[in-house]
Amino acid sequence: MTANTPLLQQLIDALKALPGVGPKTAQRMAFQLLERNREGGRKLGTALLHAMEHIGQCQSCRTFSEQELCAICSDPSRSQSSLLCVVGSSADLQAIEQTGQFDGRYFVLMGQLSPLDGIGPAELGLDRLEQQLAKGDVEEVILATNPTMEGEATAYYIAELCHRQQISVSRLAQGVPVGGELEYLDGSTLSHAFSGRKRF
Amino acid sequence: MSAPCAAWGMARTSLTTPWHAAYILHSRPLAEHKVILQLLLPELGRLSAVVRKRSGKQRQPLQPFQLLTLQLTGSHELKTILKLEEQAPGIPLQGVALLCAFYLNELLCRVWPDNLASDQLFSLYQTALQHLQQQPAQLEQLEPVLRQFEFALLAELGQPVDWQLDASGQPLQPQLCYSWQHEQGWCPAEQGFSGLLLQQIDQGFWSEPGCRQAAKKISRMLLQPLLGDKPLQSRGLFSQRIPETARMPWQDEHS
Repeated sequence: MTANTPLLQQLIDALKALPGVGPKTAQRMAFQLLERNREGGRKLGTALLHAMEHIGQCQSCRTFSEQELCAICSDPSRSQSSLLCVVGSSADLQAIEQTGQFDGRYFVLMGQLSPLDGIGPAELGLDRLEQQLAKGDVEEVILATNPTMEGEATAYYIAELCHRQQISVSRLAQGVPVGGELEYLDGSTLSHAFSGRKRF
Repeated sequence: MSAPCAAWGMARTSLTTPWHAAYILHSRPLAEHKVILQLLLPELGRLSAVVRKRSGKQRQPLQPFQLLTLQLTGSHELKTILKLEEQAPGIPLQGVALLCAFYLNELLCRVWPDNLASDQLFSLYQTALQHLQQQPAQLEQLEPVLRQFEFALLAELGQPVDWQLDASGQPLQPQLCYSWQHEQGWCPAEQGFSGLLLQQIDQGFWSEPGCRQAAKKISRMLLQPLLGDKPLQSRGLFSQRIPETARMPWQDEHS
């Protein structure tokens, strides 16, 4: 029998929705907020409520946005670019934005094809991507899906869509990370690095 | 036990624990630094195990279609992986062949019971992956690989299909039609699969479209009771929108 009050148990159950949080961690988090940081708990609750109610998806690229169009898609210099970068998640979009290397537009899949997880083309919004490609203003699609087998399958599927519309497709290079040590690399990464080597 | 003793105990365990070859069929996150893997091992069959994403500085090679060697510990159904290394370079599957390989993984995870040992399953899977990689990305070449794997899988599950004799032990006649009777085999019938097609499947006449189509229908019919009401996601995922050039071999032409 649980010694928790109904409200406390409700809080613990709710915290278990967070990734990687089990019953013990959820209980620890709940006690921490109640014992030491009630103000932080209130802010967390308010922020969660507002975020869940007001953050939607950009109608164009599908990244998280509070407006119909996100900041990138609202920027005329970017929304009219002929370069479209397809990424797996909003976090990937942020990572590419931080490099400052890319000034085109994005399409965020919010996942990757994975039959065993029940994620297919519809879940990735590929019908919407196909509609965008059909408009004819995209000259090159850059596939920036993860270098995993699921990412590879996703990239292949999207590449087929692009080929049907006669749109050029490129894929991010794969190889040795900056600051990495060769002896700690797995064989697949090293193989990719060798096959994709550049003239020096 | 103090920390150094625990570390010594772990090191001693890892020295005596046997190494197993394995393929990853599926992985899903468990915590920030851990994942639960569905593994296929020779002799042990399919089982679940927890592994850390990193081992020290090194990122673990946790991709499907890559032959691994690993050490398992734990007496419960869910094992823990002590050590994991690449045993051979990953099979470079691309395009439709890669999607077919995901289909094999889903099929295995759905129909093969947890912790059911098998002598042949691992090598059947490995051979299928190698054949998928060797074939050109055309459906005519990829379909037979899937069919052969499906029929071999059924045989491993105790439901072999006899392509030469009917239920009464008589050779299949090309001019007759046969229907499949569960736990009996092929029985002569007014309607069903022609004996000629069954002979063609037996002899691997895969260049014949009728032979491929019949094999697909038979495999679906036999797998259906094992899959139950929940369809294979791989079939549904690609049924509506897959481009013609990448249409899946497990799809119906008009689905």
